[in-house]
Amino acid sequence: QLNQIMKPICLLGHMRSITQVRFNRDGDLIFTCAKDPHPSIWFALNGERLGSLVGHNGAVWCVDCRWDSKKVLTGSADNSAKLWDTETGKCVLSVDTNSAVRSCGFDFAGTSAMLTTDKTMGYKCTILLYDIRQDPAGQPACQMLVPESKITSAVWGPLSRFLITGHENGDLCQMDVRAQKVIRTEKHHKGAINDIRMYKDGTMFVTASKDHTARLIDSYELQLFKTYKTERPVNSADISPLRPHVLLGGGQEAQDVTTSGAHVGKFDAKFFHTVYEEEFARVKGHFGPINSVGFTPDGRGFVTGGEDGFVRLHSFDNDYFDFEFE
Amino acid sequence: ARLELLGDILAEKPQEKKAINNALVLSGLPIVDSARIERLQVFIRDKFLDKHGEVVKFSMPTDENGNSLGFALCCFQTDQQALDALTDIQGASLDKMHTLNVFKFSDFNRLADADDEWKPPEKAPFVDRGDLRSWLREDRCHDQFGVLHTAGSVATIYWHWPGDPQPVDSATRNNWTESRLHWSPLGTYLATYHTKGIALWGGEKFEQINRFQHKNVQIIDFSPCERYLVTFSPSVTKEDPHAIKMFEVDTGKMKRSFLHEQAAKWPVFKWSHKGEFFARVQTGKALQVFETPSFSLLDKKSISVQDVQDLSWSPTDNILAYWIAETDNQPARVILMTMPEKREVATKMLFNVADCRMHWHPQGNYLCVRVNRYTKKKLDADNTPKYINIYTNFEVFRMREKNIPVEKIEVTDAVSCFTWEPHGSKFAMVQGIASKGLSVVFYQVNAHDIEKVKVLEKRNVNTISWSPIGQHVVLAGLRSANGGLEFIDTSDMKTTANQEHFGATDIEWDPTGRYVVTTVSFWHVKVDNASHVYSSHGTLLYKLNKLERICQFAWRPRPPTLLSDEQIKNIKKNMKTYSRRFEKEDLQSSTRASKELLEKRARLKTEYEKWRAKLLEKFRGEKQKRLELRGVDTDELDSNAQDFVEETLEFPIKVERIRIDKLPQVAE
Repeated sequence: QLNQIMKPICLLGHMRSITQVRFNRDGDLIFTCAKDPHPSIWFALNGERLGSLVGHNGAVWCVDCRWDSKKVLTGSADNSAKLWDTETGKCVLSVDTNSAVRSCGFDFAGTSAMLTTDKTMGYKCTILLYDIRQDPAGQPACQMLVPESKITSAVWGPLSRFLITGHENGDLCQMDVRAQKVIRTEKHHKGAINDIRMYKDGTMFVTASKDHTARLIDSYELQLFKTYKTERPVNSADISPLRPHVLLGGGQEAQDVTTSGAHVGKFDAKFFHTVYEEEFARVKGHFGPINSVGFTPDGRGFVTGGEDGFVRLHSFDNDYFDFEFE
Repeated sequence: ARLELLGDILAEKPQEKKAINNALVLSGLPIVDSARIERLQVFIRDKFLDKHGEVVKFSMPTDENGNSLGFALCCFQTDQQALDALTDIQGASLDKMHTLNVFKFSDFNRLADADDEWKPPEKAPFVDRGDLRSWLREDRCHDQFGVLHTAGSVATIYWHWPGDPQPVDSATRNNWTESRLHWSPLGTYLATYHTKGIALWGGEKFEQINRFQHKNVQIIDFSPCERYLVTFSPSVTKEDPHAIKMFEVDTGKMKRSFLHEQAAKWPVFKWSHKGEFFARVQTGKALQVFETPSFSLLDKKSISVQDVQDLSWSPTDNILAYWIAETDNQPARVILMTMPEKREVATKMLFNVADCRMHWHPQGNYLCVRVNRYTKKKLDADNTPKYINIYTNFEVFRMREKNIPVEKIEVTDAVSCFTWEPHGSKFAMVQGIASKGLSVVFYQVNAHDIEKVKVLEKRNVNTISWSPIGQHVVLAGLRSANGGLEFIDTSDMKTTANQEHFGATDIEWDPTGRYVVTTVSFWHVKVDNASHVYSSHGTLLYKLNKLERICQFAWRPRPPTLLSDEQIKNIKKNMKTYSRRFEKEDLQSSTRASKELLEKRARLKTEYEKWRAKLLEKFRGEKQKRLELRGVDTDELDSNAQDFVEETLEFPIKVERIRIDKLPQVAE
């Protein structure tokens, strides 16, 4: 069992719950967004803050960094998505949507951005694709309505040929937005899919669901391969790029909050063995449910963002790399 | 009008009766002359018939001289009444020379119409149930337990291999039960609830043994010998007004059914230890003791006891204890009576009694009657008594001593959770009120007195759970009391461990007294449903949390040991020689278990690598496209090393401030 993890660096930049934490491809920058309007960018090396992105007027639900680290994309509850220059923090493009932007992401080449919006009165859940090379890219290049269960999480598939979307009812779909069709639907989960994270090569991904499980699924045929079970809803999960480990973060549902919440640091980040589906370690520290997790791109650490507004950046010590299951 | 709505009205439509199922023939009656025939008729009706229902027709045929012929015919208003009467009076004796022989009139017709040629009855096919006790012969004497999980939709039976419970083959079933799982008292059967009734399962593969029809059955009880099953359902109809049914487990036949009028605690019928008798109280009036297998009243009559309140059987002898409430002229009493002789073996008068509760020691060595007494009594407006200043007395009957002496203990605080130590002579209870702090108090019954051996103060405890073999006890705060668990060895009253299972709703010892399991049941709490398994000393061994939404955890009971006390003493004396052998076996099996685990993991690993290999093939096939989309190779973090820039960063390790004018002077 892992006994010692080096003391984490605590990033205190947000006054409200964290919604997402992301790394850039090189792993030297951390992007955090929360229910406050100012996402922050930090140096992963020592936790020093580079700055914050000012411009949104509401909670920021999602953030993504382009593969070359030069641009940042954010989606907010203020019905807009914004494109920023990473170095200067300047907003170079802003598009308005009909409802809150729930997920966003650059495609593989970094020339298109996808957004998904929430279902609200009068507006269905929509997927929007923008060509960001155009300036101004006011109008979406194409869009697709999602009639049934709304999208709760979305990522680009391999080579960005289609989107992989997770829905409120547990459905998982491959969407070809340009051809306006649903390529495939699978129902592996019984509850809303809160997060989807791609493995470093894009061939498989892990889903985190309200049904207390996270699952490992292949990107090409959406075939379920592994299931990781916990006792609480899973808000976020990620796959280590270095070792056969999966990281899960979650918490209790709002209506189940009872005195058990008073237990200090009861909200643990859980580590599972990817192949054996067995939990082998827990890292405590958060005072509320964990909303977003991520391994560093080199697999030598991980970051967690919680409902308590804290972002904790951990580095693994030598025990972690030597640790083997018999 | 729709047919369903008319259903019950249609049922009331007068029907032409084809069979005469409400008529009985009583034979074996004495032959009397015309002078006494009137008296005989009245006697028969009074003593045997009227109490079972309304007799609409009664006829005692006579010969040409007016003498009776030795039999009578009677018709009841309903078929059920006739059936009840039949069961009750069949075989009753009128006097030394005459015994009633009763049969249904419809039977009479059937016998008269029977073939003159005798045909041998068809042989019923032999159903081989297999070895119903097969689980007891498992190699390492592991116990089984049942878990109802996935919110009650899946039930699984496991072998309890400590640390690594294994599901029993073919014993994971969806919708096995519609409400809960219930093991029979000796562990032979598993009972499951269904809308239509109860099903019993057993044997190595848990095949269905029998089914018992009782629509909407809500709760059940087994006789201690497992021969009989009692079921209760609140759904009663005009055709079937009996809420309580009793079945014979082996044959599946219903032996008797009863109406249930008064509100009462389950079980309504209490069984004697060998299943020979079952009894219930008719509050304020009588004790009804029935015997098996006839299922009729012992000696064909109830035992009339004015003001009787409750009864309780000894768990090891045919002794029935009951208590009588106090009246204006008589104090309350507790009476112990043997069955079937109905001989009183002990009586205790009690004064100023508000209420009594009986607690038998599990081996029948003692009976403790908890008496709530009052200092003053008032009568309310509607004459219900109101008691002021209640305090508690415990009257302990020493059952194994001559003349059954009784000893008294008084407790002024409020009392709850009284429990006896199995196979021992201690008892424990929680005293006090929650606002002032609860204490757990232990008493020891010695040869000449009852000693208070330990008081544990400030314990937030609402359940005292003794090991079934005695000596160890767990003081638990279940449900709203935060799940604190204190493990105590009562041989020296030392706490061996303090644990916590937050939100635990249930606690259960295994039948051998080696393990304690606490469960957070989905029926009470919707999160963190899991069962924790502890050793008898309180070490947490493992958690059963891979199953979702656990509702119920239930150990499979074991039949009592066949060893005599002498043999058990011998084994304990020679423990060292036995333990050496078992330790060796344990070591071998732990390596064996990990070998299976290693094989399983190796298998999973190869499967995974095969799956990944296929995916990697696709990945490599797309490499060209990736280069085109980004213009550079980004497959690995160090794929384009030429773009790397070496940077030296300096971080101060320590910062020190020195005032220049305070620098130490350099010596010239």
